[in-house]
Amino acid sequence: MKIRITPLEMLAYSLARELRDGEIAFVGQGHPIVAACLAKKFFAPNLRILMEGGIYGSEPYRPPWHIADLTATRGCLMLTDFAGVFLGILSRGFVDVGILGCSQIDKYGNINTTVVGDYFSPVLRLPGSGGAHEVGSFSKRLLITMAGGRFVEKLDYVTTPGWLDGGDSRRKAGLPGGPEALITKKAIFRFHPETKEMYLDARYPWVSVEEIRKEIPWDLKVAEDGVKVAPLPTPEQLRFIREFSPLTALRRDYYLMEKITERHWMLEPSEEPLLTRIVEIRDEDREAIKRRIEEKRRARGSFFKKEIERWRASGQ
Amino acid sequence: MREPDKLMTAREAVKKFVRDGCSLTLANFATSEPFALVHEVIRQGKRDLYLIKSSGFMASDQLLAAGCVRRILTSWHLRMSPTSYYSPIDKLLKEKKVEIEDYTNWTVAARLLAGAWGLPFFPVRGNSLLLSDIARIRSFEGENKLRVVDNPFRPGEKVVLVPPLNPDVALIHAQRADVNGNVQLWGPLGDTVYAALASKVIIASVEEIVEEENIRRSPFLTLLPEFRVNAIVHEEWGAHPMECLGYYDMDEPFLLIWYALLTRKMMESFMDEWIFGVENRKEYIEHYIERFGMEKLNSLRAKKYLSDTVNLGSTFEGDMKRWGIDWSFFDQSISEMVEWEVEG
Repeated sequence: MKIRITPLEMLAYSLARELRDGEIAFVGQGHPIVAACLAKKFFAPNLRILMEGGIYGSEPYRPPWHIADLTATRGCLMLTDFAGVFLGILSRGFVDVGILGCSQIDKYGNINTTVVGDYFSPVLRLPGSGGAHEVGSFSKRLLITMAGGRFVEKLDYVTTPGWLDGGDSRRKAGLPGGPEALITKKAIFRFHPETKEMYLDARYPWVSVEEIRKEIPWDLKVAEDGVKVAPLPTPEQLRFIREFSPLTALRRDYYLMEKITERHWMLEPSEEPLLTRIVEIRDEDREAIKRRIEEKRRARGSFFKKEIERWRASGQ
Repeated sequence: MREPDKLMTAREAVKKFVRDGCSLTLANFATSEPFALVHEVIRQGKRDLYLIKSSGFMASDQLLAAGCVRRILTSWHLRMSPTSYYSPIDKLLKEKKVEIEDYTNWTVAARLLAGAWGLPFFPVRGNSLLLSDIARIRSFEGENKLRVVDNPFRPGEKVVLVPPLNPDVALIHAQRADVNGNVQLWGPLGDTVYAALASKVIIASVEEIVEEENIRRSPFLTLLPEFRVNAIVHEEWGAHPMECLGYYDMDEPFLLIWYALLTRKMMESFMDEWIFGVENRKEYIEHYIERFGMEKLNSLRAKKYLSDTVNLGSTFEGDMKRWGIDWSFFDQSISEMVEWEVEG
């Protein structure tokens, strides 16, 4: 039997497997909420989803776009506000597991989601902390996802403390919890119980250890009992992910987003980019957009082809 | 003091209360952003605003893109696709046209809460901030971004304090209000109420104007009382393209246009069409219908999922009835009754 899966769907599935029944999970939008709903459906029916805007016991019927989205409020158990969430629940230690995305991560699981480059003259401004700092500081367990970020020796900005300098430095600083796993588009990493250094625990079936090492600027350690192969979802689980959250497979793909938007507005399909039809723009911009979309299209083609060929070659 | 004449148009409200250089907060947390009011601020070309916003989404982004903002105090600002598309905040920070001060969602909320309750500061639990660059790297708030003191009750323990924050004006979009300015809103609140109540002036746009009787029948939904609210603006679809619980859903394909704008020029032409090209919210919605059809607009409308009605009743009997006394009882049993001749 063969299944077709995208790296982001694999990320969401691997994340879902980390959640346990009965836990209170602090969940943000994107992959975490998809994973939490998948877990709730297949492995952890009594998982309680807590969303930052003030929604406890949420049962979303589609992936919320932000942390106070009304798609997540229907039939929840409690609606509250920041004091209820951050003081009453999170910092009192009632959150069993927190999930955070990151843009830069170091070997001890410290996270940057604020800025790339110097703070005052940024190379790239990122969204910022939001609630991430507190989630990382006060959750009993912390799971980190990284979809488009980088491993670095030294963070440009420490937004959320992980294991700080490793060893017992986090405990000495008086913080509970700490990162437990990092899940990327290629592999699952965990943190050594003593040194708190990140190590490679499992790779996705179509990715090699060398390929994973290439992205990591330090000498990556691997699990003492060898690198495992992460299990794939069943067809039912995959169907759930795709039906619940089509954007997990499609996200960040400008060309596909455009096709969806086109369908939504029932516009005539056309080779001309949607935006040039929705927004009046000048010729030089139109050229730039066409180039960009062409690049995206090329990248997409080669990406799928490469990944799938590699996977087939591995005999899965 | 209650003031009369709170009902006004967005144009009147913004003209009356929002001044160049004032500090402004968009009080709604993530959900129901006050787009009708924000677009009016942009149309009136307000400048040098100090934007205070724990997590800024599309409305904050548009204020930045329109060049209204000089300073921003935030913890999170919309960055849909960090590596690809044009982002006003990225551009403005690089050009040093905007100054930013970074907090976390809770610490911005704590500052507003201190402002709303008139506290001298708000203590932040734990010392995690000191282990991050949020405490170390300071911009325009400098020394007063946050301070660390010894806990007088547990010597040796460090406590992080943040100062109160009182924005000049709060813009907020809510579900309903009466003409006196009792604003009712429901849903996940984030720091919505703190941000509004911390502000010196509150301008609220609402989906519906209801009778005082409706307010009295659900007083627990009144989160902003009449004596704090300065202007009520009746704007149907006032939060489009964001959602308003109980009224309409988010219009994702429309949001995607903003996320996908690739250049400054495209962003300008989008704003020319949807902000400067219309006079008010009504024209905006008419333009939307013209562009995409009534059917699309209707497809956003919320279905009903009514809350359980709970009984707010009691016996509604006065004390005389409950205690079984009538007028003669006073004459018969009270000895200290004084009789006095009254003219007329």
